[in-house]
Amino acid sequence: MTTTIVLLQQILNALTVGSIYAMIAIGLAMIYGILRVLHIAHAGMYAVGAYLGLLLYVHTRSFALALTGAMVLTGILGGLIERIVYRPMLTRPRIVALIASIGLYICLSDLLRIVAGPHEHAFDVGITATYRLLGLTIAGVDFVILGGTSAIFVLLWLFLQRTRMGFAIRAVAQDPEAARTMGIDVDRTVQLVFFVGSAIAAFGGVMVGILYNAVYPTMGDTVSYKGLALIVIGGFGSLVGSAVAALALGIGETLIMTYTQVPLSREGIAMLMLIILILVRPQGLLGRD
Amino acid sequence: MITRRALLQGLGALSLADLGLVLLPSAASGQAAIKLGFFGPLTGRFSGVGTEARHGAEFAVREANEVGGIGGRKVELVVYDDRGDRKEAVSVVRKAMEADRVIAFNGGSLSLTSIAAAPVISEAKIPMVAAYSNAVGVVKGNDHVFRWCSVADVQGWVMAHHAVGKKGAKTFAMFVQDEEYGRGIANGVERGISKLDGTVAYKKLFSPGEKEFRAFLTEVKALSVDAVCASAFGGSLTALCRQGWDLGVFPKAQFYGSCTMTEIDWFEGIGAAGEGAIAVLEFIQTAPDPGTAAFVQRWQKAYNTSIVSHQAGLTYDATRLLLDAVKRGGPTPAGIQGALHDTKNFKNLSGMTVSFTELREPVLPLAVGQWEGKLKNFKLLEFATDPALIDPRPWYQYYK
Repeated sequence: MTTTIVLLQQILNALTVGSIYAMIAIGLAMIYGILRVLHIAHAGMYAVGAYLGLLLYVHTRSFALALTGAMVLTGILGGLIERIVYRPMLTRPRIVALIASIGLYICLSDLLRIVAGPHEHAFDVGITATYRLLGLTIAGVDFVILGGTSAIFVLLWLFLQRTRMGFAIRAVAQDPEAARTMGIDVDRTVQLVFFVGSAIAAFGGVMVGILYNAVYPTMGDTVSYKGLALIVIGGFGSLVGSAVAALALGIGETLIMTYTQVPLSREGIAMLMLIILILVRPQGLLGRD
Repeated sequence: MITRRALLQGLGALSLADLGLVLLPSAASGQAAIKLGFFGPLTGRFSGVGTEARHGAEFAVREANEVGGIGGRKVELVVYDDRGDRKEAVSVVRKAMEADRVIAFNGGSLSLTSIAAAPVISEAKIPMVAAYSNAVGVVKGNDHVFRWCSVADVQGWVMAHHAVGKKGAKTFAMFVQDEEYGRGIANGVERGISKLDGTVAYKKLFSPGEKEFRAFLTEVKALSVDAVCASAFGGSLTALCRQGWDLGVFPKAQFYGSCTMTEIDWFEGIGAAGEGAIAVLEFIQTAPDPGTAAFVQRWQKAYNTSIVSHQAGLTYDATRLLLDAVKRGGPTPAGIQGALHDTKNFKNLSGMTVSFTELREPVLPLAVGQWEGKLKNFKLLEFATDPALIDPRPWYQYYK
């Protein structure tokens, strides 16, 4: 393999990893953008989504159905969490919601372990094809992840920019009180954001499940730290910023871990990036001053 | 896939262990039960490992109680969850000694947690048998701690000798999980390769639990090494091997993994990849000994699975050894300690006879097994029995 091919292969690897991070970061950023709440339990949604995807796949043997079903069901769960857990807490200091979110995440992880057992479960959907292109090796799963992520980006952009519901979300994110006076149902809009964000997290969970052929109760642990780092790096609620931060993190950690001998964990690298960025640009990559 | 077994195991994991309760708490005869302590990660990231170990320990205790216990007294297993956390391990072993008055420990935990708990146990003069903790520091300097698996370095040493001697490998890539267990195996591999005039062309350290190896494997692919030696927990080994398969690194290069390749994660997750991958194992369920086969049958009946994982097999065996020591030395910490010291030619679960050295380390024959997709298990290639390969004593010099 030539150096160029190796480098291109590394970028491909990094983009796959970054795409998955982006699926986590976008939902988190949407929720933070509209509620100013750090939704730690979002990592739990990601794990629940992976389990639901596996469960549906086992019963239907259709990956498309399993993915769609997992996204819808996780989205509904996200909506319920907003209604039952967060909405009653919004009149209290934000720290209350943050603590509740941490507790909720721990409960979700434990629930998954109790119901499905502590071991990893294989999530093998039979995408075993590997393609060789210009010296690059591209696994079929990479195509699914990169293609799926791109589709989610486009659909989300269209939804936010071209639909009334998207307009409502943007309005509530800018100024909830003004949006309310304009006749927008703020509660319903916030719940919709939880639905969409959780559904996208489920997409990320299912993708990770098939990428590593493993679904396990603590799979959200890494994501919980990293997701928080990404929304800060991205600019506190900026969707584009979070996506850019996710891809940058994917590339950054791939290069650092591959070309240095520092045994820093991936979470460690994310936190390091976070600290450096806060020192250099406190408002995040695409955040406003 | 989520099976009924997994569901039941999960529900089981919540019950007694989480609450720090016990298995078979009372003695039918009216005599107080013999209390043995068990600690391991039953929740958190490594809960799969700990749950398997607990099953192994419980099974051995159940079998002992089914034949009347020891000297007419039932055996209780006091189970504690250390969550794979060093501080928690120290806390739970203190509780087991002070509140539950256990007379010995079956250490069903990871190297990193056993290292933290072992000095506390040893200071209290309570004997412990480490079932699957491979790091030297678990036993070294803790004069009441014994080990019933191999020293990590020995596994690496055997791995390197097999790769060079049997597979003709000359250039190597190494993947090292950066904690006591992974570093120990890497030490053995590296020294073996160096002694046998091989070359380590690539070495990568990573943190426990890592699952993304494709960037590293891309580098390895460009180097065209003969063999890849990896030390990690089961989930990471499985991910590493699968991803190497996808990228075409394996089977061109021979994959070697440490004993954790027989964790459940491998059996569940390796799928169509991994054919021909080699593991150096302390327990192999395809060993030709009739005792091994009979055990596997009993296990299958009890747990409705034909897979006996690394931790389950070793912890079963360590508990069996501990129970035997209680029989031989009497149900006191001092008696058990003496009996463990005197253990000679104890037949282990793979059918090999094992004795302790003066360092409380076993001279344990290691199985070299090869993954067969059709068999869905590791076929025994050979047992490494040469003392020059498996003696744990020379490795102590590297750990001050």
